[in-house]
Amino acid sequence: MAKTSQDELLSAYIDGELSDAQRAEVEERLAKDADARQLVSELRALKESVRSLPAYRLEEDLARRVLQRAERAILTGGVDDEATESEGPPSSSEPPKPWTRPLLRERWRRVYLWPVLAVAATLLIMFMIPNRTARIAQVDQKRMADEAAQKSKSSSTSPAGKVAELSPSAEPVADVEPERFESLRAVPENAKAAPGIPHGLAKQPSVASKSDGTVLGHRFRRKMAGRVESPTEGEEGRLLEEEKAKENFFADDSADQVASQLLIVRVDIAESTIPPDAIAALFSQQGIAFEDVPPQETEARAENADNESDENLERERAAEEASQLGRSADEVELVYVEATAGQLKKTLKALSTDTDRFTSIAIEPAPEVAAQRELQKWYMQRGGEASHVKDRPRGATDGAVADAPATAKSSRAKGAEAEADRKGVLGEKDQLGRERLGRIVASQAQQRPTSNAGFGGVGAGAGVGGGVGGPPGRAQRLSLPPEIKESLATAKNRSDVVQRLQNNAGRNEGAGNEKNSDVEGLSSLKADKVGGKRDEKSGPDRPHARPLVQTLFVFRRPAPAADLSHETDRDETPAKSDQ
Amino acid sequence: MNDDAPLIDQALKGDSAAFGRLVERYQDRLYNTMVHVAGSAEDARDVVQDAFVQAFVKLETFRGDAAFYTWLYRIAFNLAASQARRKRPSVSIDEARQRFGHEPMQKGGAPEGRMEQKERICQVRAAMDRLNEDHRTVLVLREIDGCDYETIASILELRIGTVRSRLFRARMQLREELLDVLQEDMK
Repeated sequence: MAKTSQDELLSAYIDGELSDAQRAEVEERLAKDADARQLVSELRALKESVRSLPAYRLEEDLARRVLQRAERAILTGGVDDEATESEGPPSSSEPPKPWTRPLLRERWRRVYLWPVLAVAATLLIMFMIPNRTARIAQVDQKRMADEAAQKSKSSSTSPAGKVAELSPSAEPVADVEPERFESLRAVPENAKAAPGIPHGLAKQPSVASKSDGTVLGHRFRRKMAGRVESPTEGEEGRLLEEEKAKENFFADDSADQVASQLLIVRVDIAESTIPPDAIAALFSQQGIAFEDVPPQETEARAENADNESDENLERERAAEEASQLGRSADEVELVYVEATAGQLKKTLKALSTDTDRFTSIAIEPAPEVAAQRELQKWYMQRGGEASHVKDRPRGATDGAVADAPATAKSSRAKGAEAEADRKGVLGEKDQLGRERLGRIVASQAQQRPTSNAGFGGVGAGAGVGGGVGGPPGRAQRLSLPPEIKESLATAKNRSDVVQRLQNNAGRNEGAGNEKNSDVEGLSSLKADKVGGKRDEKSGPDRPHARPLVQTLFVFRRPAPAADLSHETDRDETPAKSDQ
Repeated sequence: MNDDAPLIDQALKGDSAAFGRLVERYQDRLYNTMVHVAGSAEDARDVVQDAFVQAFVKLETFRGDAAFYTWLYRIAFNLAASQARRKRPSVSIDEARQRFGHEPMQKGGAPEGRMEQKERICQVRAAMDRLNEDHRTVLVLREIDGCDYETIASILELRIGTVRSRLFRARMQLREELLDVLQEDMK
């Protein structure tokens, strides 16, 4: 045997990798050969030298990032950075492999697409102007109003009386920033204080009793009444195709279960960059029909309000509150949307890529709805990309991303708590607003025009279940009090909100109230997901119920330095770094 | 590792957190190996991350006839080889350590011997860096990661005889370069 081969055996000998026969042979040589013994000693010393090198470890938890990237890779059809096949020779020139294997598709479907697309969604989009002083005062007065309203409920069923009770709650938020969000506000410029409004409401043009038959109708302007052709190019078209292909997965009880939750998305908007119809355009460009409630229809509804039952009084009161919201529309704007997951994704994409207008985005899923968490994850993966866009602040988006993938629930809770803590008094608003949200949203929805399409008057194809001409998707501009919007932003118990919303919808259905067919649309979300009951109601020309996703977006706008102190700015603008 | 099988099953059923636990289990071990293979902490981190991502995406192709970490290492080494071909500018380990704060875990030693130990470490590293990639890879898997020949052969898809010969050549080259140091140690 050549000396090299013999020495190689010595190397293997110190590793204990020889057979018994080879080891015996080596030991025999070592007994006779001093050079061999010297070599073995040196190899052992060498071995010890290499093994004594300091160990390196990663100073980070790689799991979160890995999972984000992996899920993104699955979403985008391949491993993003590397084309190397794990079980074949590496090749850096290969393009990313398309996601074609059935097993992978099945895993993706199981983990992401199925639950995401199974959820029906409501989008509430809010634009806020932070103003700590005004909001603190508003919270205090809202709380007073709430207490007064509770008393009123037990002593009087008159809507006018309730308005009188509620009136002290009105805070002239519009006075603080009268011109802000003029282009986005839901309240028309000609809204004035109604006669007979008690002291304290004098400066609140949008607060009025329903009996005047005009106020509710003035809360909304129609921004857009028609559907816009949905984008057809590239990925958007692919998303729609994916949705279509996965529809058969929706007929499942779990889909019904998750459908009763709202997802909240918060977006910071850049100052003075949002044209009047930007929000409407945002949705319409994704194939989501956008509308405001025409004044005349809400007037008619208001005229009939006095005849409503006690059960509806609370909703009436919510309508009044909503009308109060109108005065604060300078600060807040809300858009209620029901759309498919694909449309939501496209909306989020549009938001995340429009860094000039939207500076940060955060998604807050309902705690018990995995599908929403997955949608959050999906967005966060895109948000991570967006955060690299030049000049885009690493704000709420990244903050929301921070802990979400593996522990979305805890991340959401932590984020909400952190925000509540940061805002101090807003934590009090949180509970107040949460208790009213369902009533208010339902009341607002009630103002939608009667239509078989759910969000009526938008177009035949715009309702729940989708139309023949395109994907389902509908958006309606709503208005909520700033404190309630704040509470949405820090939601901790959204299930109560959703329950109220659906209870309201259920009452409307039970009463057979044709005027509230739009509210019926809220509850019919569930039917869509469990069997397409909506189809039966919608007629034969609506061949297939398209599942809709419930989500809540919160959009905020930074306060101008001239009007707000630095402290206010810090407190009220969404956290860029501490979320 | 047998404990990996339940986590893999869970991950295949859609529990991504289970895969997260696998990442936690192996990230430091793989990283420590890849620092020596990739040549820089930065490259090693990228390789490790990419390897886990690929492993997750391709998890259904893992047949379970080898240990998960063997399969994972195979992915990582393929990625490292691919990365090396791209000849991306790399940062030395020491420089990366300063830049990224990746302080290696010290294995002990009295303070008075720190300087000497540090010098020794630098000499060994420099000698290893001069090994060709194939030899260095085998040596790292054997001495740094503690893999046996069969595992190394599985990871690198080599015959055991090739592993043994490459390891021997790597050691002989290191011995040549570190002879003075070794002889001093043996005194």
